[in-house]
Amino acid sequence: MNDATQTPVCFGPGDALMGMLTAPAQQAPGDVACLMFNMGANHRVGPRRINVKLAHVLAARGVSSLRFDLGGIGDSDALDTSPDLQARAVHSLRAAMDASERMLGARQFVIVGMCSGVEHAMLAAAADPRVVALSLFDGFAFPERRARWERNVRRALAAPAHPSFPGKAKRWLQRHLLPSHSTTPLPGFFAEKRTPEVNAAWFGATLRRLVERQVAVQLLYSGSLHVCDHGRDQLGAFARQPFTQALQYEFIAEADHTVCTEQGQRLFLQSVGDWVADRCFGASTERRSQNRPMAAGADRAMPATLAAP
Amino acid sequence: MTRFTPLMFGPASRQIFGVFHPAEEDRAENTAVLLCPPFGQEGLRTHRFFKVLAERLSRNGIATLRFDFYGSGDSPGDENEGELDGWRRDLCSAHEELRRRAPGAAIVWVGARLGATLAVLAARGGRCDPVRLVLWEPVIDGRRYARLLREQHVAAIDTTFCIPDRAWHRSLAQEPDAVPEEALGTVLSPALRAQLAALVPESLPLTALHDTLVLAEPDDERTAQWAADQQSRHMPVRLAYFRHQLDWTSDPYPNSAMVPADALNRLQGALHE
Repeated sequence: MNDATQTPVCFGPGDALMGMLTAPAQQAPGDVACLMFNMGANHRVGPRRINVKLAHVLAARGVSSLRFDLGGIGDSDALDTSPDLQARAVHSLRAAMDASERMLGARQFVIVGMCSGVEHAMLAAAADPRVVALSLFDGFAFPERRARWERNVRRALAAPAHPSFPGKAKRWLQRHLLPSHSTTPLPGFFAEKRTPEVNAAWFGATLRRLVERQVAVQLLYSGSLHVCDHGRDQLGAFARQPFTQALQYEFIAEADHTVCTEQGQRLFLQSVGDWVADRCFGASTERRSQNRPMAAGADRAMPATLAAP
Repeated sequence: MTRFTPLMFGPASRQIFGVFHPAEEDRAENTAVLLCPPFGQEGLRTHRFFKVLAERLSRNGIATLRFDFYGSGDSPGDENEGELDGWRRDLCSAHEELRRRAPGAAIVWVGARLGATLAVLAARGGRCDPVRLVLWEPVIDGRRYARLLREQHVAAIDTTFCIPDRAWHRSLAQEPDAVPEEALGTVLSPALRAQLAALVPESLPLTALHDTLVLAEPDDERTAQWAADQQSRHMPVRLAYFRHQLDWTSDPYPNSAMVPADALNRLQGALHE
């Protein structure tokens, strides 16, 4: 990995936040940099070290990045800038942009958000005009009746002979019938505080504002949510809204929510790496779509409420 | 708030990432600790645990360095470059970095899982001089470890995919003893696979150059036997049983034990007993 230089940094209020800058070794940093941060309680390297791998991919293509821990996660100390978790996450993201401006000279940003990070990324983009693009993986999903029905039928047909389903059934029963300390989320922490209707209204309104501001958005969904996709299924009714037509949507059946396999990681890195690099260098999504072949056997469609299984 | 210094160190061609936690000045002891993390998902899973342990040690006057082996965690390098000989040298680089930042201190290595195994291998090289090894559930049988990683990988696939690919189950059933090319999101290089296949308790003799404390689960008879074998060679080693709630390979999820207090206390106490 000699294509890049890596520099650990502390930044933010009282230098409470910690991250790693990755910059291409052979060229000056561009105007647009990429930010990566935590998915759930994983530290800044991301689930299965995916953020480090993405930073290497981007550096090889000339894109600088900062992966960092939000306040209170990983190596970062908690911020006391607000009592609200989401507000503190936005403060962390804005501090990361300030630090990247100072150290890399970047003036605009692409944010990669995964799972719980999707909402943080959207909030930060809505609050800060320096954000020009968002790549969002397994965030909000709103599959309608047909998509849910198809998923349930496919699972029911697979269950009798599939060795994984006894375990899946046991975990479902534990979650729904035997609430215990280990299966009940703490209030306000990784828990849905809002109803699905409120979530959908917030998602739609925020996304519409971002699109109107010409923020580019990539929505990725994994094989943890479904086995196939017939046309932006995970966007539900939003898929028929004019403002979503410009979004890039991709369903990666071979990747799972935590990118646990080498194949899933490769597809994720190819999709996000291409898209982020194009956003950083101003290439159009259309050109990218023409150039990159689909993975064999993959149903490319869109898979949305926080989508973690 | 405990202050620490993130840093890169080691040869220019093989920089590795570390975090140095200096000893609080008014309580400074003559001991420093080098934390040697586990491999792959186990290393990612225990990041927070070792961060909190380092902060505790630092507050108690013990300078501590934690680091990521090359090609793992936040360090540069690709996973397919990872193998035991290079990681053993990384451990000695980290030892030298800690020696530079805590001159004169007696350095204790605290290693977990494959990090503990690497501590044994590195201490044998004689390039560096730890006074004590604390080995938390060391991997002493590479094939058994590879089998565990494969089983946990298949279990993770079962949990996470909507309908998992059955090929993972078939592969495990057909070749149960094969060392995998990937496990839980980490690629195992050909060199590492060969090294794990050859790793047996007999290839991990301790030396008399340092004390050793082995922490093992009460039902881990193989590790107990390995420790007994070392004692019979008159090596200064002690075995202590320790059961804890930390699940080495799971994803971090709400209410799972990421930083169990009993494990923190046990490791802190292990430095001096």
